Amino acid sequence: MRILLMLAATVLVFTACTPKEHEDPAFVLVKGGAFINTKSNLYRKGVMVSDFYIGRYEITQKEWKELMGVNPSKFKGDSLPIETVSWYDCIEYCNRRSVKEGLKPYYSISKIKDTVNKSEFDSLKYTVMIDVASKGYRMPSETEWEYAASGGQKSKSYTYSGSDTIDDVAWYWRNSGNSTLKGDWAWSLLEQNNCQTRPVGRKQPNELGLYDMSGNVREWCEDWYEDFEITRGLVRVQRGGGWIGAEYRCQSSNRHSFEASGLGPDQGLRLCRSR
Amino acid sequence: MKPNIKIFNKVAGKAAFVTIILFFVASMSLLTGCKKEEMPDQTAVESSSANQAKGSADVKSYQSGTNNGYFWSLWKDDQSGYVTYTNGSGGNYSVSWNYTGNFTCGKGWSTGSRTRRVGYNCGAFTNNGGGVFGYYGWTRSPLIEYYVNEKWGNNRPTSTDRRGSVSSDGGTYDIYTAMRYNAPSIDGTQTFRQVFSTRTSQAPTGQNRVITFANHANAWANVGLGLGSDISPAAILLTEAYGGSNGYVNATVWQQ
Repeated sequence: MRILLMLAATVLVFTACTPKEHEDPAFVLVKGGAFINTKSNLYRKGVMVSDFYIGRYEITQKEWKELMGVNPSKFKGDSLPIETVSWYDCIEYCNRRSVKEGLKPYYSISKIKDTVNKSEFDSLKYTVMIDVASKGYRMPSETEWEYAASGGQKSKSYTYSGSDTIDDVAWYWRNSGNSTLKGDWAWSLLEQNNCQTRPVGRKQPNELGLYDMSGNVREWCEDWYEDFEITRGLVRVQRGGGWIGAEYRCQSSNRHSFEASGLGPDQGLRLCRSR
Repeated sequence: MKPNIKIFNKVAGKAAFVTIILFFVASMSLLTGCKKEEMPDQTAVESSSANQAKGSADVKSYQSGTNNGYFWSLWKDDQSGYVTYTNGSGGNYSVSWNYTGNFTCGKGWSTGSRTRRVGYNCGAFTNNGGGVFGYYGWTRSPLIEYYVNEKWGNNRPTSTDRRGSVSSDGGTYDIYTAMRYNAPSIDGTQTFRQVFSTRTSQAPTGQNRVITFANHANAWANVGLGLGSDISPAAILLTEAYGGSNGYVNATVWQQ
């Protein structure tokens, strides 16, 4: 009896100490930790990720229209992912969604030119500041994105997000049209095959239950893209590959970028929140 | 060089080049045979059935392959008229067309090179319309499309952004650049730069010529137009036409 009472007390204390989890089933709590996907860029690099929430699906056009009132997508459909949105558009969406749900916005946006932004192609160069204490909606950091795509602590070290077989998990250039394309990539082939975005959540999810982390639309991340030759302040990170791009772009470890004002019918968004 | 969607398609098409192994020894003997002072031998053009087997002749969209150790490709949009591309001996190819749309084709190498000296002989050149003839390729990191324009159709290829000039291989070239915004590519939608040298006057027909590519790459870098770090995508002796034209080109390429 005493043991039972102690167990019950322990459960009560634990429950009371656990923060209230995200109530929206469209979000997944990603338990933090080190990268265990052996194919990740950050495997055994001493990087630790904190817990965070991330959208189970890419933001759909229905969700976007409800908040923004417009739908810039090239391919129209409520369940299709939003596309042809810039990084700045996505910042605005995050804030509006936060306000709608009574959360303090994570970003503040000013049309004063960002002096860090050295891009010759970014026609906007808005200054965007963040409130790290906010639990409002935001874009994932690149590290968070890769951690989630590679399966977090449940990772099975897949190449693509949720499988080593791309067709299991991703809409990409070969399978996003009327028929399966063979041979070499050519834009004219994609056009003739009516390749386009597909409704979210129709492929297999990854180890964390996230859909379309590989393929469908490329997903903006919050960070500046930096590598050995591209310096901070030129382009923003986007990850995951999309319906236009090649297989390698859909790999969880593949890094890519676009100027923040860039628009494309394969460029969308997945939301994130700090825990 | 025409700044329209066709360029995007062509760049995208080039992005899908497959890796090939050059049959070096065999190629050298064939190449030597191509270095003629006179116009390349028209009789070297193979029969239509052989052409089909080698991926030539009247095709749609994008095709590429290897012929005599050389990479070749043909892209065209689906407009009316005809484009007949034929691989010849060694690095020779010919193309004849009467076409309302855009196409690109040519022969060269499956990988680019910063130091390649491109030998060529353009034995016949007629283009009654828009288009260029020259050396073409692209780089990654960043994505940059480059041209060395030797000949052209009705209009000399230029852009509003001229960055200077470079002298090379007995000619003078103007250096131009232009941007392609939000264009589809194998990487997804991207913004990328075009960099090109255009001769101040057309190169002569029927001569063995050289394009010392390093001279152009260095000149581009000196005016802030450095190529990407990855020059592994293919590079070809290009014939391109756009906007409705007719013509005929017979040319041979080799490594100088």
